[in-house]
Amino acid sequence: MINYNKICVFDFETDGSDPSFCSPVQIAAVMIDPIQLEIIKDSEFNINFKPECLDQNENFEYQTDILDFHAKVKGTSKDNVLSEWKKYPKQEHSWTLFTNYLDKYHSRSSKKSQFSAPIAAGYNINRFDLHIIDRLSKKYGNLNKEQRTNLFYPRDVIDGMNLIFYWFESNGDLKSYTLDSVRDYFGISKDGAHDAIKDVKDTAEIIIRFMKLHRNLSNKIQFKGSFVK
Amino acid sequence: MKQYQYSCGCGFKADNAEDLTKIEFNPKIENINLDCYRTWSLISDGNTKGVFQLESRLGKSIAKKLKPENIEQLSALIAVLRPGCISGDTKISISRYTHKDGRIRQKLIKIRDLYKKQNSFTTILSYNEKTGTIINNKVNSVIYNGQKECFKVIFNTHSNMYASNGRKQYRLECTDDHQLLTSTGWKELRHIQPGERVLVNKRKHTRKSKLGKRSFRTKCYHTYEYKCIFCDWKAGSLDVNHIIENRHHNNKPNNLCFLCPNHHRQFTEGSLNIKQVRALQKKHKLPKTIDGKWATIVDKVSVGIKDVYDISMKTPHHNFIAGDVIVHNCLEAMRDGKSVTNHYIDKKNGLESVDYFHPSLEPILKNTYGEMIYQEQAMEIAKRIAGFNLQEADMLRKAIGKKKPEEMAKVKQRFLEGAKQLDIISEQDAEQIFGWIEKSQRYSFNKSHSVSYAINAYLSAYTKAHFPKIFFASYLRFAKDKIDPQEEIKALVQNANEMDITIHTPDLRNLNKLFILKNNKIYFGLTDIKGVGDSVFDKLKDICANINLSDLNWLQVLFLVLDKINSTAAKGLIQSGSISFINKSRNSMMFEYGLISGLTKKEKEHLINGLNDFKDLGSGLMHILNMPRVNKNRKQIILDSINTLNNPPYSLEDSPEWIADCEDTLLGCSITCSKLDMYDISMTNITCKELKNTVLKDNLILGGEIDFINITKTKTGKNPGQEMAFVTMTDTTGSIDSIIFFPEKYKEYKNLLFANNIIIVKGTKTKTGDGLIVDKAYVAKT
Repeated sequence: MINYNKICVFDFETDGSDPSFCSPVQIAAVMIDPIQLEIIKDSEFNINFKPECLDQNENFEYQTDILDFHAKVKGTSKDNVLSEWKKYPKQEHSWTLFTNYLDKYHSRSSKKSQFSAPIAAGYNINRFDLHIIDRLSKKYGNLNKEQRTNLFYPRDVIDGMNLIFYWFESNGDLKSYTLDSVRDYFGISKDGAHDAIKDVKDTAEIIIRFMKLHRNLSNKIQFKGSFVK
Repeated sequence: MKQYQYSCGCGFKADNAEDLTKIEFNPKIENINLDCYRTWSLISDGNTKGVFQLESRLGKSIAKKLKPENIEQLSALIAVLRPGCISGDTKISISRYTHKDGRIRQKLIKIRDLYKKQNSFTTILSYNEKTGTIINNKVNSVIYNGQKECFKVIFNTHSNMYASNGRKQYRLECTDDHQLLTSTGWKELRHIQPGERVLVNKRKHTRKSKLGKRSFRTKCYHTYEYKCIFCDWKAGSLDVNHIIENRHHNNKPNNLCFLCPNHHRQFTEGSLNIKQVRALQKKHKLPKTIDGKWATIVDKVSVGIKDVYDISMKTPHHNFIAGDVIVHNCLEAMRDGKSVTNHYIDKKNGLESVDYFHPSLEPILKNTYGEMIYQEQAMEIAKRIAGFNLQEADMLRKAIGKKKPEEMAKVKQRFLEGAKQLDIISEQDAEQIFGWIEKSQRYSFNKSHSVSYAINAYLSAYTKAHFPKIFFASYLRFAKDKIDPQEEIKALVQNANEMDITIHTPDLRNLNKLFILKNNKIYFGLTDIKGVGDSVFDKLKDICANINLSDLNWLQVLFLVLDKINSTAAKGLIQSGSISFINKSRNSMMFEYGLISGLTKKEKEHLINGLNDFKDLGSGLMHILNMPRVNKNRKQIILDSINTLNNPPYSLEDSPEWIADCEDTLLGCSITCSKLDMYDISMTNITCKELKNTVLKDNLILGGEIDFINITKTKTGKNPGQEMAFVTMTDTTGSIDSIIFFPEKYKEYKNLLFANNIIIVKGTKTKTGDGLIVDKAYVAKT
């Protein structure tokens, strides 16, 4: 089975840690060519979202730890982070642009459908980012018959965290499964970490490396009939 | 009008030599130069896409091998090429399996899909005429035969042949020259009359067998011909006669026969005796079958011209199961392990000596190099050798065609007697010649038919050779009527590219519904874009009635045209390049179209009123902010749009790959860009088009996109039965279908060979000169 669907590596930065309630403040994405296993040139996507609570109430007060985290990542003060968030475009506007972007990368097919849509990929997306995607899809009417998002290919999801687990579950050297630990272990620079676009590019590189490794191995291993006794 | 002369000697009157849209051309055969070398070389090169009768893959390859030089040879080529065919939607029985309910069922696949996946199915189900069972049989090849008129045939397996019980009905779509197995042998559909019995596959899975519980009428129907054994009357309902005893004592098939009411009365009255009935009963018995069933043909109706296919099966079982009906396979007669087609080609090319069997046959068979191709030749031989008159000769043709043993015996006897009387040949030779005529009827064709086909084929090839642009424009216009229009458009555009004719993307300024030849350029029609239908086109025509599209800027097109039609059509127009006359990337057009779809009707009206004052969409949106009574929420939305315009979230440059993808999806093929433009193929030293004409033989490096892979098994060599591949590769100049990966190389590069992959191959030119034997293969890098 040759895969012709493009792979969309995406990541949300949010104003909270609970995917059921938090609002995205940034989404970034890149596309991987499924045949060449390379990041498609000029395929970066990056947009900010005005958090829902700030949209409804300009004077909403955030818990300090969330703002602390973002201030630390951006190298600025909490007030600056908050005033920046207030300037961001409305969620609906940014979401529409994201859906237009995904629409652009459907695979060549006679009929555009969910089955020609890109495959969702990222780091820890199964537990976090895909929940937000489903929530926003429900809010803006991007659902399929099963009430799941119709923006991505429905069958497959590539989660970098799962890949790391398969290869390192018996390796004590890796301290944890967070993206930061993996970056440390592989020797990837942490400059600009937790900015969605940097995280996405790093995740894409990791996924590409592992997929290439799998391709090489699968050509060398004799799978056919290997279970025949 | 001026007279313009071609190098081949053909001349036409035209307005302008550059723009041959208005020419004086009378397509009458007496006005056409039949010795035009331009036309003959086009046919001999196999460039026969769109040429009547020769556009199939088989037609192209045989035309290339035969290299016809005159109508006589073209007629013979068409005559040997004309197997009967099955329509593309017909389901073929592939194999049998046991369903979870315990019954044996058959796996089916459409013949069109079988053609596409030729390598996946090496065997399909076939009927063994000796044992009457269904068996697995090897497939030689599946052949596409172009488009032909098809007939829908309805069969019934009910004793009341007009009963409309769907479960007992079978349907088949095929050409009227396709052969079906009747109770009297193989017959072409055109010679089969309603009421005749044809062998179909027994549907074992439809219901449990009720053997023993069936009525005597059904038993009789499945054992005997449905006609009165005395008078062959079958116009109405027949009576089932019990020969000995009655329906309460003996309902075995041996005790039953069909009688018309008149003879039934005579039998019961005692004027007909049992001996007479027994003798005739045996004659009317249907041939024995185990896995088959004798169905009655109820109706035959034309269903129009369709794409047709055929299958060539391995000897000795020359049939397969299509739509649950046993049909004959491709009529390719074999002699000395070679088909008659190949004998003819080799003889014409001087690779095989021409033998006329007897000097007296030379004048008759000279034109076809000693091969009996036409039915008229058989008739002529009978006239010359056996002294047949024209009526008798026609009787001979009919008798052999219908394969009636009694008539055959009579004609044979008359033939041998006639030959003895004339004494031109010996008795032994006469027998041999008659046997030869008998065999030739499997493939021989009516010459008058064949010549008229050949003339039509020559006419279409002549037009293609002299006015290729007009030819392609008109042929592309009718591609919509094909089952797969996009596939047809792709093939035609590729063929046009090979002939250095560029097909252009649609242009909104032309406002043409279908393909058009304008200013010596062929343009796609607007309705050829996926998502742009007739209603959208009519709307566009109304909108543009009072507008000169060439004078409009992007904002005017956006608000005055695109915003007035549905979004699918608008996006289709942008992505297909219909608005590329405006100097702006398609991506940014799409982006801005997406932004304005969020504006309210009032805001749009405000923008339209001041369209001439705005430089771009950004300045227009800024103007909206100054509108009276704009609420805070709307202001925020407009501001967001302005910010996004100034700082777009993704690149708005057009990448060649994206354009190629869009055009491929919307138009059926990529026109402006190719996916190859993204890849570094600078190390190649040849293109697909150049490969055919190059004198270089070794170290040829070719780059392209894999279109199709045909995996076959080797038949000869050290280890026969190994897998090898024939790859079809496409680049911007054309395509080549014989990039050969022999077993060793196939094993090595198997993982690179999949559709749409861009590869670079290095190798040696094949002996025939139109292919490449691969030595090394690489993945192309971006």
